[in-house]
Amino acid sequence: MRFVLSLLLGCFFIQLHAEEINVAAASNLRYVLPVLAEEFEQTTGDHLALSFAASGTLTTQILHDAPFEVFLSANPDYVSRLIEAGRTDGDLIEFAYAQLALYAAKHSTLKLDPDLAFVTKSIDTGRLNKVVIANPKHAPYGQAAKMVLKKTGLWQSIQPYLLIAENASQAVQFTMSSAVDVGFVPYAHVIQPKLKTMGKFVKLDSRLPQQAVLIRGASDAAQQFVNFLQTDAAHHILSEHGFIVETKE
Amino acid sequence: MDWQAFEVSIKLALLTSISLLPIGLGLAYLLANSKFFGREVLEAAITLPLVLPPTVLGYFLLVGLDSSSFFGAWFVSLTGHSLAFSFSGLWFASIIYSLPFAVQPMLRSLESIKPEIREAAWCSGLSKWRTFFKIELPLAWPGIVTAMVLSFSHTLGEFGVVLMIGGNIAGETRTLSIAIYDSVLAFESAQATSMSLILLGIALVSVTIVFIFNRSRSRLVQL
Amino acid sequence: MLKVTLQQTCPIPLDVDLHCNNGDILALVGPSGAGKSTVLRCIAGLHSSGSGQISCADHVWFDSENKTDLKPQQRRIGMVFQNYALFPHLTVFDNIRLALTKQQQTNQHKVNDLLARVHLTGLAQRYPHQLSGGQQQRVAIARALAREPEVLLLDEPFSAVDRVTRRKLYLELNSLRHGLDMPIVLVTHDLDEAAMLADTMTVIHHGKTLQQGSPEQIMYQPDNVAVAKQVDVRNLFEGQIVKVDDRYQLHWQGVILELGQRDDVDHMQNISWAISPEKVILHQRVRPSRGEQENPVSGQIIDMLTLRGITTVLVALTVTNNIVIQMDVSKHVAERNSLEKGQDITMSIIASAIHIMKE
Repeated sequence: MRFVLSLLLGCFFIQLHAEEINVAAASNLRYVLPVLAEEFEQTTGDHLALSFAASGTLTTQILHDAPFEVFLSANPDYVSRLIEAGRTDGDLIEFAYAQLALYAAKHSTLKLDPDLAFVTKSIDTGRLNKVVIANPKHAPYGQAAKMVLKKTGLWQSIQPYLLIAENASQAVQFTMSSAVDVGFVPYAHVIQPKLKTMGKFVKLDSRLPQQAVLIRGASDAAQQFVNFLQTDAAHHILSEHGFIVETKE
Repeated sequence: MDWQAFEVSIKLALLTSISLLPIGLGLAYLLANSKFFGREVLEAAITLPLVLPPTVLGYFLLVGLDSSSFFGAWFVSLTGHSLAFSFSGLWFASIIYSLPFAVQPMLRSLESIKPEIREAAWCSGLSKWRTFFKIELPLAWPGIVTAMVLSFSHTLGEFGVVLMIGGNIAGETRTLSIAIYDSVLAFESAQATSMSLILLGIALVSVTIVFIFNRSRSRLVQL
Repeated sequence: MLKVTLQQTCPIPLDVDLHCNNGDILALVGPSGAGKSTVLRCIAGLHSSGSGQISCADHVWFDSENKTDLKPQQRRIGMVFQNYALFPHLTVFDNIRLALTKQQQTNQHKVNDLLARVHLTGLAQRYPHQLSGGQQQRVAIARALAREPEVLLLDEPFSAVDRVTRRKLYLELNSLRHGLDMPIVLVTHDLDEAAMLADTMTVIHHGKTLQQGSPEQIMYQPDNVAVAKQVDVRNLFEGQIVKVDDRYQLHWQGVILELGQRDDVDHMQNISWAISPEKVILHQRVRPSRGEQENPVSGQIIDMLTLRGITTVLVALTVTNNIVIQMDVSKHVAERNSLEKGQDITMSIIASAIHIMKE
């Protein structure tokens, strides 16, 4: 028994010695961030512990002393909240732009176009099932979708068909249901091989700034990671995964 | 304060607990009075929603009973809506989710009726139906009320399942618990607080009613 | 007339054959687990045995051959359960009213008539938990009678009350039954109760009915040892019959008992026999009694027990390897003869009282 106890304690201490950086990331980064983390690990040896959730959830957790060191979000409001609350260290950086896409799973019969003319047509002929967006109240992809819908003048008429997902990931998940015809989802998600083969998509003209900020008390290794996000290697990975990077600055 | 969400929550909780009255009673009666092969399996299956995370149930309802599946298609033909993203779907999900809360108290109170009492009723000429309505039902009444109130409160507080299959449609699947969640995420603390207090108040009142009622009626059954 | 034959092997074995005439009380007697309650439940329709037949008043209620098996509701039975099983949420009045036949439902007075019959007038609005044990039992009987049953079944109805109440209830049942002309089956493990109330008695053991007859027959002239053991026959022994000239002797553990002329025994038969302790006669020192010289045996008193004026004396017989025989004498005889432990005495075993049982 005592042997087991000391073994467990030993493992615990071994863990503490390796640098593990706790990163809180919005769920739209769930495909690109592990790749970035692996690249970072290979060059520095430091390991990243990634937590994906809705930006709002993560913000609340950080405000209540969750032990994260880096916060990556597509919603500038949440980042400024943390800055105002004095929870951050240093300035935020915008390391990429996420894009919005329309995605229709295989069962959907709609023909997608980036100007959403197909939506108007479907509403007129009464052959539209559900349309899903992330929650515009707090999810950045939802807000972006709402903006696009407002811009094309469809915001009011689409209300009866609207489904609201908790976050962008759930929005993707909902598009798989045969009750849903199309969804406004992260472009970074739909270009993943799995989703690509399960439906069709079209990119929309919309940019969501991806911000990164250090949480107060973060380690040097965390700062290194934030710096890493602005390197060419990181840019390369990001654009491969559907993000836009401004190579100037 | 999202009164529309409040209305959806109350409507869902009421409909669910009312539906669970015949369903729960039927299952409880079956389990209390018959010995059949697989009885324990049935009881375990009914208790399952108690121990499963709501996300599992939600996942199953969303993916497993999709409109393209056999049951999903039948549901659409029956109600006109898909199982996910509709009030009727939530109603169906809530019945499953709150089933053990309805069956367990009813079963325990039916089981507490001594078999001789039923037999005495039969020997006195009462058919099984009359025995149920005149003897077993009145004696099991505290358990039935408990079951109704518990399934009402439980459905009122339902979150995980609604989050997974509701789709947050205003007036239809946006329940108060979802509205609270959204408010928290959007940092609208005043809203979140007031809605939470209302839910808390209702839950407290209903559970207190159960205890008071049980204490006053249970003396009779102890004979 | 109630006729019952039942056979089954599981859940408990049964091999039952009994009958009861209208107006008679049949006591079904046996130890716990013998199957008495099961038999009653079969008659009531609460349990179906493997095979057999149950008929009452010429209605066939159960017949395994032509698959007849009426439900309790279809049989006109009145059953009183061991713990009465009154409906706790209903008043005494409603408990009885619920059992009334359809025709009687509208009869205002019927319930009150029944209450009067069991001497519970005035308690109609009470609830079962407000009644004493004896009162509850009477409500149970009234409820059983409400159905105008063709047979009245009582499952150890007196076991849940104290002795004083029990006596009162015996008297009540006795007076009640005179107005009833249906067979009454009373299950009990109490032999005295059976002897007091029953017209006919059946002993049941391990599910098998051993003997049916009047209580006197069963208790004093049991058919065989199995029955004798069930009815607590005292002085139960084994022996061998030997014929000498035209008379018979009973050879028992070195003692020879003269039986005189009998027609129920054969030469060289191994039998069991019993004698009532009342028929073992003390050879009194003070006042010698007639028949004193019949089958004398001697022994030493090893214990004495007095109950209600009768002293049971346990005597270890000297010749017979110290086998113990019981002798009942009245208390004053015991005192007059200064009987005490350790004393040597002689007794007579009255030949005509020796009851022979074949193996």
